[in-house]
Amino acid sequence: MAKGGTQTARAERDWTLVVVWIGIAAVVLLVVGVVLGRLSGAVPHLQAWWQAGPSLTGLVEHLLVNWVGAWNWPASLAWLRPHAGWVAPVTAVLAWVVLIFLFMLPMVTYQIYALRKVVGFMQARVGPTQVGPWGLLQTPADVLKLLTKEDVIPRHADRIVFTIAPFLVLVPASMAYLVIPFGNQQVVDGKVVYSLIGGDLNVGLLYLSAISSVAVIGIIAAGWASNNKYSLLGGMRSAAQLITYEIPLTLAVVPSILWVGSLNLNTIAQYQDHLGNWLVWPCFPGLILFAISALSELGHVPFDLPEAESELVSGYNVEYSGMKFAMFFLAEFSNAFILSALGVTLFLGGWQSPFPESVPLLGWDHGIFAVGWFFLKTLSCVFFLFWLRATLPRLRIDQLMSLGWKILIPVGLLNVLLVAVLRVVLG
Amino acid sequence: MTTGFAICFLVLAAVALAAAAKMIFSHHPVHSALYLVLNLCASALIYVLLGAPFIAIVQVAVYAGAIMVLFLFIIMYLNLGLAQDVADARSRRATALATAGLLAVLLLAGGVVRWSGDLAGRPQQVAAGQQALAAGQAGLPGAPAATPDAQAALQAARAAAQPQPGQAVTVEQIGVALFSRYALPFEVASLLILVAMIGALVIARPQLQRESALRKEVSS
Amino acid sequence: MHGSYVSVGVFFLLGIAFVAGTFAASWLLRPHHPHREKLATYECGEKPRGGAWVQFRIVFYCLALSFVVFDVEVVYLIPWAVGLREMDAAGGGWYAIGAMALFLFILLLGWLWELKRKAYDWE
Repeated sequence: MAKGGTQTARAERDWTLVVVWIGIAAVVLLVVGVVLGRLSGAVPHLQAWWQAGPSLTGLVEHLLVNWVGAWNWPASLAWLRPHAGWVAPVTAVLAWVVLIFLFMLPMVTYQIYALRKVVGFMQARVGPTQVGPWGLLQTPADVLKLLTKEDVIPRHADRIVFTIAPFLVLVPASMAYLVIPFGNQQVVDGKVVYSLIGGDLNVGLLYLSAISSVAVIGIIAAGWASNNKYSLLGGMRSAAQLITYEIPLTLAVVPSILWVGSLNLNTIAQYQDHLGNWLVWPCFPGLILFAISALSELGHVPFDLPEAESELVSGYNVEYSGMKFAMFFLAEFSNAFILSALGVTLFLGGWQSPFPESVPLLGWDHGIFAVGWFFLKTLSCVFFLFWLRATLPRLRIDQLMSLGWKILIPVGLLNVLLVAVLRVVLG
Repeated sequence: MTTGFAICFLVLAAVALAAAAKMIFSHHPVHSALYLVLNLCASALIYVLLGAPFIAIVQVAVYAGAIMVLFLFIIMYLNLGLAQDVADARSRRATALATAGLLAVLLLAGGVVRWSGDLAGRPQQVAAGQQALAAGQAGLPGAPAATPDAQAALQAARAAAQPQPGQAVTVEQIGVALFSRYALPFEVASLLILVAMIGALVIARPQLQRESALRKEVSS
Repeated sequence: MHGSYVSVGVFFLLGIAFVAGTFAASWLLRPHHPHREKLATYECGEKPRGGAWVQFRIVFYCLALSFVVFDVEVVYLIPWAVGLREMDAAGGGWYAIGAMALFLFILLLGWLWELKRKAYDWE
């Protein structure tokens, strides 16, 4: 009893500490923001930004477009002056990219930490506790350790392909962030005031599928270049699994495309402006199909055959160590986030709030609020992935192949035709 | 715009050509396959420059993503070693040269025909615009200047006669065209795909049976 | 319009720079002590026997070909899905669905044939 009592007290103290930490961080950020704003003379821009709907990248873009444009150009840069209309958007893209990379690393690092904590909790363990308060610094420490690890390339390996393979896997994974709508796009009089989507591509969804299909080549290359039996077998199996489930994954998103009539992820998110318009209603079988195929594309439980520890040691990355290994790991968790975000955008309303606009606070979904809804939904999906990892056993490879080819593909095609009929009937 | 376009095009073309050359001269088939992926991606970016993002993305997804995986699986199946191992490479040189020459002639001929066709077609389109302009003038007796409509028609005809690198064809337009003008080729394509599906399995069947027999032997 | 594709290029270059940068940082920080045993291929502690570059099963070829076929099919499906609303507005909605159903039916025959020949059974 007494032991239970101390544990409860400790848990309460922990939570109080979390709240205090967040509070301190918020105050520091606010002070830094105001001081920087004063120093840069950006206060009028800040006001305009606040009126348009507050968001961080909105601020960056707004400052760049309105500030760089009106900037008192030094003589050395005077030749750029006529190109201000071109320089500002490109700088905005650069700012966005830097922001994404700054965001991706901590995001993925703490995704791994969350996975260990959540699965630990579900299996009645405690997860990491030693490094930092509540083990919070465990994963950053792991990253640092990997960074300083010796890089071993086996003697019989193909050195060049061995080094290129991590690029082929991670570069597509990071390029996927470009088309994810993290929030809304504020357009006033046909001019974009701010946009929470990196590149508003009209073929956004197809771009994602093309990008992800290049990663398959990277996995085969990694498995082959290692010249290790487990690696090559793991690489070939991974590739077979990835290509088998790429078709149902694409078939699962076709109903959403069809319903909205666009491949632009921003348009699809904008279409779902209230709960009744969320695409989960007409495309519900698509969501189920998407979830199953996405799990398999991620090599996630119950489809984690590529890293079947008992048979293949760890799959295509057995021979990789140090930072090269970290790249595959990073790509894996980054893809989990991207596919969750894609599922949210295509079926669950994207950054839109489920409440009507009239509800104060909860119904707001522009600027920072849109980003909040987006992350709430996406991280719930990521949590769902962790939950499955702690719950389900692994399929056999013949079961995996039959599920993909014999069931998911015909069901996906049927679903596409049925949704098309529904769309035409409803007009 | 045009300078930027030219620089981008030249860089991409250089990358594509270099990748193609490396693909041919690489000693290992897996290296060749990876260079081919680079080549396909560079040409996809050239399609983006030409205003065809859909085709570019299909090129990456189908060629770099699917067909290259097929190539790699075939390389793994055939277990091809270094190119020097192929003893009769020398005897095939004549055939290879003849095939390459024929292909080059065909490509050049196709290009010349297309180019002269463009040259022939352009005056016609401009003439059509001028006719529209004349018609617009005729429709308004006593009006010395062209009507805005006719001027727009002439402008549109001129624009159509010149390739516009910046204008993209949308996926929607492709979809509609596919089911109106090209409905028959579209349905025929499904037959072609059907033949590919059946043919692949028929070719692989003897080997599949051999492997399954071997498997039974090993397990018993 | 080109602006958004410029951002694709920027993302691509910075993605490469990110990976190359981390590799460079790790190269500066890490030790380098190669050893015969350390550089040997990993085979669960046994002495490695032979290379891994051996002949693979033909099933992989069959799978990849089926994948190419269905990928091409999806490429046809997507412009149809995007254009369906417009075609429906022009009064051709049922026609478009019929044309696609015929296309898919012909492919279904191929799928059934492969199913019957056990192409999708992994031994």
